[in-house]
Formats: sequence, C-alpha cells, structure tokens
Amino acid sequence: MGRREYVSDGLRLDGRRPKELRNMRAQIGVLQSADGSAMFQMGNTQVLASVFGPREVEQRSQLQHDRAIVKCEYAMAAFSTGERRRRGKTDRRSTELSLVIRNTLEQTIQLEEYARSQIDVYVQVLQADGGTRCACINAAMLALADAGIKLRDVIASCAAGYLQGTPLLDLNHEEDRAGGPDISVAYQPGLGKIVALQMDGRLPTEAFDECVQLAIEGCKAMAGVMRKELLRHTRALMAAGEDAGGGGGGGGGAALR
Amino acid sequence: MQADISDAEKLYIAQGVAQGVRNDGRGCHDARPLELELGVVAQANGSARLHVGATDVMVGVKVSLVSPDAAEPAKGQVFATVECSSCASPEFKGRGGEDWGIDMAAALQSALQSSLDLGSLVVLAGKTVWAVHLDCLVLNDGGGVLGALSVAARAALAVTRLPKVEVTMGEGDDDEPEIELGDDSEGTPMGVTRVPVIVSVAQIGSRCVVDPSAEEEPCASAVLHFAVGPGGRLGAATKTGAGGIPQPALLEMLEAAQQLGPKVLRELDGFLAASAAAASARAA
Repeated sequence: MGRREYVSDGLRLDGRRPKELRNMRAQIGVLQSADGSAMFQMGNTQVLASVFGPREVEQRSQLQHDRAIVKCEYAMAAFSTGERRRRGKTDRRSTELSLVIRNTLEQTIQLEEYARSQIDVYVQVLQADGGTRCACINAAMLALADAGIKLRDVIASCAAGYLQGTPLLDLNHEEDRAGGPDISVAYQPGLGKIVALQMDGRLPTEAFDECVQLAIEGCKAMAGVMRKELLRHTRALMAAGEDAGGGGGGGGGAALR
Repeated sequence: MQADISDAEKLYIAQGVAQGVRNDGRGCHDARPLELELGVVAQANGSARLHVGATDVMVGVKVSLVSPDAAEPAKGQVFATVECSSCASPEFKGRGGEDWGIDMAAALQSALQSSLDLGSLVVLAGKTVWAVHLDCLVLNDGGGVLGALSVAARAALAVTRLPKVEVTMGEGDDDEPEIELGDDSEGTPMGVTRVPVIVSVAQIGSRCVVDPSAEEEPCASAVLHFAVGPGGRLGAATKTGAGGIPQPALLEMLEAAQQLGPKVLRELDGFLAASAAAASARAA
C-alpha cells in the first residue's frame, strides 16, 4: 500500500471529516414473509435482516424452560463485495459474525418473556463497504422491534478506527483495509451499557478511550436514526389500524399484525 | 418451495381456477405487475431488484477477465448462481434451498448461454475473455421465482457495461500482451435482445394459469417453465411438480407462455429504454 494519505486537510478519502458518519438510511417492514424485517444502510454498506418467531423450538434438546433461545445466521451475497466471492453460510467468518450478533441480541431481548421458544434472526449483506457487522446489528435490532419482540433498550452499533494519529468514525472498506485498528461497539443508549466490543489491530492505550468514546457517539447518532424510523413505522401502522375500523377486533389486528 | 396451506384452501383455489377466477383477482392468463429497480448494488457492474407480487429477488452481474475454456477458446463465459436467502424463510437456513437454487441457476445459465453472443465477449482470441457472473438472491418467495429471476437477470445484464479494454501487444513474440481496464462508465453494453424470459404455467385441475402465486403453486399438479424470447420464440422448457400433464393441455400451456413472454419483454424493454433516457438526461 505504501504511504497513503488517509486524512489530508482534515478530510478523508471519501470527503468526510474524521468524526463524520456516512449517510444512513433505515427502513422497517421490507420483506413480506418474515415476522419482522428491516434494511439498514450506511454509505455503500447495505444489510437486510429478518426475524422469525418467537416460535416452537426446533431441536427439543436446546429448549430452555426459563427463556427463549436465539438463532442467528449471517450471509453475504456473492455480488456484495468489490471482488466477486461466493461464500458459504458456514465459513469461519460467517460463523464468527453470527455468534457476535447473537450474543449482542441476547443481551438486549427480554428472553425470559419468551420461555420455551426460539427466535430466529437472519442477516443478509447486500452490499459490503466496511462496517458490515455494525450494520447487521442495527438491521437486526430494527427487525426485532418490527416483530414486536420485547427489548430492554435500543441497541445501536458503530465502529471507529485510528489512522495517522487521528480517530476516525465509521470506517469504509478502503480505510478498513489500511491495517489500522478497528473498534466495533454495540451500545444501549438508554441503559448506557456497552454490550459488544471488538477490536483488531494495534492501538496506543491512550487512544483507546478516545476511540471507544467516538464509537459510542456514533452509536448514539445511529440510535437516533433508528428511533426515528421506528416512530415513522409505528405511526404508519396506527394510521392503517384506524383505516381498518379503529382497531376493533380482527380488522385492526390484521393491519397491526 | 411450498406455501403451507390447508386442503380446504387448496380446494377453494382450485375451484376458483376452474371458474376462471384467481384469488388475487387475476384472470388465468394474466401475470402480476412487475416492479423493477436498476443499479441497486454499487459494487456490481449491473444489478436489478424485482418485486412481483410478494416475490422479491435481486440480481448482481459482475464481469472479470479470465482465460478461456480450452475447448472453446473463442467464447466468453457465463455463469449463474441462485442463493435463497434465509431472510426469506427459515427453511433456507444452512444449506436449505441449495438444491432448488442449483436447479434454477442451471435453467438461467442455459438460457443465457444460448442467447448471449458469447463471441463478443472475447478480448484477446485464445488468451483472454470476459467471464460474466450472474449472482441471484431470492429475498422472498411469493411464487413464480424462476420467472422473476429471469426478468431481473435480463434487466441487470441490460444495464451492465463491459469495461473498456486496451490491449498493448508486447514487442517480441513471447511477450505477454498487456491489458488495461478502462472506466466502467465508458464501457460497452452487452447485447441482450435475444435473452429470453422464463414464463411459468401451472396446471391446476383441468385449467392452466400463468405466473402462479405462492398459494397457487401447491395446488398445481405440474408447472411448466418456458424460456420465451422475442417474437415468442421458444428457447427451453422444463417441468416441475408431482403430477403429469395431459398431452392436449401441453399445447394450451405453451400458447399461454408464448403470448405472455413477448408482452413481458416489451414491457421490460420499454422500462429499460425509459430509464436509460432518464439517466442520459440527468448526465447532460
């Protein structure tokens, strides 16, 4: 790679400032068959998530009497990356990411409310340009809310990096490839808790706190976008419920699912 | 993949079809409206997303330079894959849906291989050709998935531009020629006029319906998939489903497909022309 300038005159390769997020877009209810679904996009990274359940546990040996179990699967479309690559759903990276996402969601879902049942979360990467694991968590969170599953708080996930002595928010693929550290954080803004943290690469200890703080600020901004979409979606559902006859009995129930 | 519906529902649908009425209000020979979006994947050379009723599919086309197949040095290569996203249904998790995907990919690939001008994909005879990878993703199965994929594939190929290539021959005879890739925007389009769409015709009771929905598919004793090109030219046909088709019905089904196919192609080409015109107006 040689010496490449990742920050020059206070601007990054894609023209952002160091603490600037990419354009975000969130949309709830994008797939018909799923109990809950959502799309989350930041820049050229785009992810779909769908939720099925709570439903009967598939493998009885895994049944938990006091809480729900969460299953998670991560898949990447062959056309999603710059270089075409067909990945199995069970390669090491997919498995690792499925586990991270599952672990994050398990800390957020009120599992004890759904004893003896199973919640399936599937995430599908449509476009990958850095920050896929964060986008996956954000999309999954919105899909869970769409499915009407009780959550402890909103979770939002965002990454921060550190290149040329500058902390950078929300790395894209090119910045990610630069080999610097990359810290992914999932954060519950209401409870003020970090539920997932992953870092790779080397980072000066004194910069760690700064980067994590930056990622958390990013999470808060993402949570704002997600909350807005949740409100928009809920208002649309309420309007649909009123149109269907004031939500009385089956009519309103159908519109509200 | 089969929707989970009861025997009573199946009977209801079958009796409706017998009277020429379908549960979504269509006539037997009516297809569902298409909702197409182009250029949905920034990372692909061409892409499209198509909604047909509840069916939701996405196709990305990527091209790359490869050495040609030794048996066919003067031909480019076309590959199709179909992946069923688990987002569509838990039955696609893990390796679920893989066989179905392979089956549909084979149908698409053979339709493309026989209709694209593979000779035009040669960059340097015997040395370098374009390989066109068509990767399809099924995001929701609302019936008629193969047909939807074929329409989305044709659309994605139509907006694909083969990057401009500059070949500099080496000085000596043994020198490898150098190949330089130009920008995507100044590339050449691929000829897709002959690429067919696949029309599915389902046999329900004694009648046939085109473009079956997810509820109609389990009611069908058999489904025939015809690849229909411009002018109603028949490219390929396959049969799925557990039952047999009485021979007289076969011709009726073919006729229905040959009527619908060119209509879909006209509609699609009209949309592609309109969006190309809009794009060039934006650029100007």
